[in-house]
Order: sequence, then C-alpha cells, then structure tokens
Amino acid sequence: MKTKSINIPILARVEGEGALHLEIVNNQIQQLQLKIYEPPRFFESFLQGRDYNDVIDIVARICGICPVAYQMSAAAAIEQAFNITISPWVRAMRRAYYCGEWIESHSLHIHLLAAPDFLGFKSILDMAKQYPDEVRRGLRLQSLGNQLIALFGGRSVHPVGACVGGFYRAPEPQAVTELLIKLEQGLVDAEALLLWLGKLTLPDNSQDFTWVSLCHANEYPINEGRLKSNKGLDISKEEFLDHFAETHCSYSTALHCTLQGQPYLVGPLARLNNNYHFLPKQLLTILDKLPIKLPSQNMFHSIIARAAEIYYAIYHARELLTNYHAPQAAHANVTVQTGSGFGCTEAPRGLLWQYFEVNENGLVMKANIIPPTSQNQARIEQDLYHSLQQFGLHSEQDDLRQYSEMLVRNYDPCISCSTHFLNLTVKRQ
Amino acid sequence: MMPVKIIAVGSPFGDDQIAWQIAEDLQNILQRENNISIEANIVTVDRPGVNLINVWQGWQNVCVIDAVIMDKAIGTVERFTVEQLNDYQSAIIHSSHDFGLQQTLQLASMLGQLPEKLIIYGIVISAKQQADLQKKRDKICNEILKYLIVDY
Repeated sequence: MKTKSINIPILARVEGEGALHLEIVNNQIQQLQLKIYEPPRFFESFLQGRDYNDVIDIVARICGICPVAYQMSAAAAIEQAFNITISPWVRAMRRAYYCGEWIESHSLHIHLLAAPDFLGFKSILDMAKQYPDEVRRGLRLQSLGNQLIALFGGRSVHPVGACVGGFYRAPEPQAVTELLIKLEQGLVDAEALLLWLGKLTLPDNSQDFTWVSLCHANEYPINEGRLKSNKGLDISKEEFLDHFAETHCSYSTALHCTLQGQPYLVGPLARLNNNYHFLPKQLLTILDKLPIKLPSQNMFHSIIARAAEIYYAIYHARELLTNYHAPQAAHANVTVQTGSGFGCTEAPRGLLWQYFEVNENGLVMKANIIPPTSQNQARIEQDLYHSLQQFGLHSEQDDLRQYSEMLVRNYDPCISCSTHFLNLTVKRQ
Repeated sequence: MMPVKIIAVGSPFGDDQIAWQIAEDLQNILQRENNISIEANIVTVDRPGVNLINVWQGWQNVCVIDAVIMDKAIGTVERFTVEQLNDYQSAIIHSSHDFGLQQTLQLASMLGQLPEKLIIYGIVISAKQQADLQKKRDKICNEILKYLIVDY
C-alpha cells in the first residue's frame, strides 16, 4: 500500500487563514480536509441585546472587503421584522451602493489574488513588473468601487452611512455628477479587463455540481429574489432553513452549510449562470467574444464571471445614478415592534443570509448569520476531490499544493467572514 | 515649504488608533499656530491596502504616519524613507489582509506611482501598553511636527 500525505500549512492569497490536508492511498484520495483554524468570532452573540440601530454598524465590522453585504442583509431582516417598506429611491440607491462593493471586491480578487495564478506569477508584485498597465487598471477599478461605497457610506472600509430604512443622508448631487464621469471611464476599463481575461489560458475542470443564487423576475439579483438552483430548488428566503443546514466539522472552526446534505456553489459564477439573460446587451456582446459558454460548469470561469459583474455593476450604477435627485427623506420612518425578519442578499462571494428577532424595545434577541464562505466550503472540498484526481495525484507535492491553492482561490473564500486560510499537508501511502 | 499630503493609517480603536489621534492633534496645531508654515492636507485611512496608491495620487510630497511594532520603547517615532523601509524583511503575503504598507510601496514603485518625496513616520506601539502610549501622545505629535518642518 502506498500512502502519500500532503499538507499545505497556509493557503496563500486568500482572505484569512486556513490549511489543507490530503491523504492519498494507492493513488486515491482517502481524506481531504479544508481546515479553517482562525478562531470563531461570535458576532451573533455580540449582537444579542444590542439596539437594532447598532446592528448595521456592527455587522459591517465582520468583513473589511464586503461590509455592504452584511449591512444590506441585516437591514432587510430588521425592516421585515418592523414591517417597514423602503422607498423606490432607497431601493435603487442600495443597489448602487452594493454595486460599489462588487466592483471593489471583484477587482481586488482578480488582480491581487487570482490573476497571478493564470499568468504564472507568485504574487501581484511579480505580475506588476510584466503587466503594469493591467495592474494599474485593476487599481483604478478597485478605487472606483471604493468611491461608490464612500458616496453612500461616508467611507469605503466599514462604511457608516446605511441605516434601517435607508441611509442617514442622501449623497450631494454634485458628488454624484462627479462620480458619473468616473463610472463612464470605468466602463472602458471593465471592457478592456474582460477582453484581456478572454486571452488567458484557463484550465477546463468542468464538472457536474449544484449552484444556487438569488433570482429576480425583472433584474440581475442583488438585494432581493428567490433562491434558485440549477437542480430545481425554488424557495423564498423565509424557507432557507427548511432546505439548508449548517454542521460543524471536527477539523474546522467554520461551519459547513449544505443543501439537503449536499455541497453547492454560491457566488459570481452561480449568479451569472442563473441570471445572465438579465445582463445588458453590450455586456452579452463582449461575453460572446470570450471562451465561455453560459451556463458554465468550469469553476475556472469564475474569474470571467467576476469581471462580467464588474462591468455590470458599473453599467448599472451609472444607470441608477443618471438623473439622480436627492429625496426629502433618505430613509423610511421606523416604528419599533416585536418581530422577526429574514435578509438574503448577494454578497460579492455569494448568498448572505441573516435572521433577526427583535423585542418591543428594539433589542436583538436572536441573530443568525450564514455567510457565503461557509456555504462554499463543502463545495470547495468536492471540487478538490474531483479536480486533484483529474490533475494527477502522483504529481510532485509542490505542484499539488499550487494547483490546490489555485482551485481554492477560485471561490475567493473569505475566511475572515466564515470565521476565517492554506497550509497543505499530504500523506501518501 | 512644500505642500504635503499627510496620510494617517490606522483604525478607530485600540493601539492602532494612534496615527489617527496624531493626525487630529496635528490638524489642531496647524489651525491654531500661525507661525508654523506647513501647508498640509491631512487624511485618515483605515487599512487602505493597495488603495493607498490612489490616496496619494496627484501629490508630489507625501508623508505616511503608521503604527509599527519594533524592538524599541513604545511611543518612539521612527523615520523611514522608502529605501530604508525596503531593507526590512518583507512579510510573506498570505492574503490581501497581509498586503501591508511595505508591499504597497513596492507595488507603487513597480508601477511608477510613488510620490517624488515620501517619508514614513512609524510610531512604536504595543498592545499591552496602550495606556502608556496615550500618555506620550503630545511628545509623539511634537516629534512628528519637528520631522515635518525639516522634511518638508
């Protein structure tokens, strides 16, 4: 019997810290464990007993990359608990605010974390020597996203402008006008980014898997919709726990969320696969020129999905902010009442589901937050099982480690959110 | 005296807030004291990562104030040029969270986006001696002010 054990002690270029342990016996994977070892942060417990208004600012602290997503799911849940209907202006501006986060987070992941893999560089520092213009473009796009977040949130990291019912204040029309000019320029950068990514040689690891995303009747989903999969799931956010369950693995501090006990994908590729027909014609024309056919079962197409969503987010934000006017009230009136509510929005990395119970004084009695990375963990392990066998388990340890990291990075796991990435250990027999 | 962009890197809480506090103190002093002829634009940023490159865009003279961990007494102000900072061993980059000031400066240098003049003032901190650091706030501010007058 031949056993091979491979350990990747720290997964590089992902958000947070984790490790991967592989045990190979007679050229078959016997054990594969994606280990998240950052300590849990107990945010749900911090929230208990807090005033509903504090929730939006506290959940923004869960992640420095996707604070808007946490704010938007929480706001939706509390608004449902209080029976608040937001105005069309708030609805539209929340979409624009969220677009900022997609642009910022996707640009960071493509350039800082993923692109070096496909171009054979160890990091963006090496990549920048050969591709300075592309890196500069990436930084411009990331900055554009940050500026859009700051327009509504006051600042881009842990923004403070959002509240239950809407925003504390409406952006000044002059600031919106100035940003519209930058969004116009950003659209040119986003198209160039897509065409550049189209020239990359992406491996084909197509496989049969389940993907889940929000789906909306009239638009590309961001803040609302039903949860739909490619395998027949079609439920409301209120039915989430009837179909999805979080379990604890002994080797990981993060919970694994499964759909009827099975792994599933959330994130940009899942969203694009389910909703590409809502993309603007210009973007579909660009995608037609790229080596991707939608829906795609090749996880390496995730980088293209992210770039497509950057284009969409810039296009859509421009659309939403054209003819902008500041309303009389930037948020709905809040009447505190006992209640419970659900929020489910599309964070850059995928579905972010939240549930809150609030008492008659507006204090949080119960909180449940299920971030995208905990939903993707079982799917990452499933992908590794399939793709590493396809890659060749007899490969050198360094090659296995590099390929494993590349596979994991496709999911843009935010371990800091899920608790928190890759040390690879491989044991071969 | 050249106009200078002062970028304080930190966060609102804990020992890492010292650069923000010094930025506030500097702002107050420059508004109050007419005899200090520093033309400064002061901003505070929270874990900017590579976005720092965008923050100093358009400025020829830039100074960055950041908390540092060094084997020196807490509250010590260490002055670094970009070259001096590069001499320190780089941390291995595990995530974009680990993409710190040093890596950002290296990236900016490769992209030709470093300001003409960039000085970093590092304030030595220690999570265990936060109260002691607060007591040295005036001294730290005065020391950075002296550096600014000489450097810019």
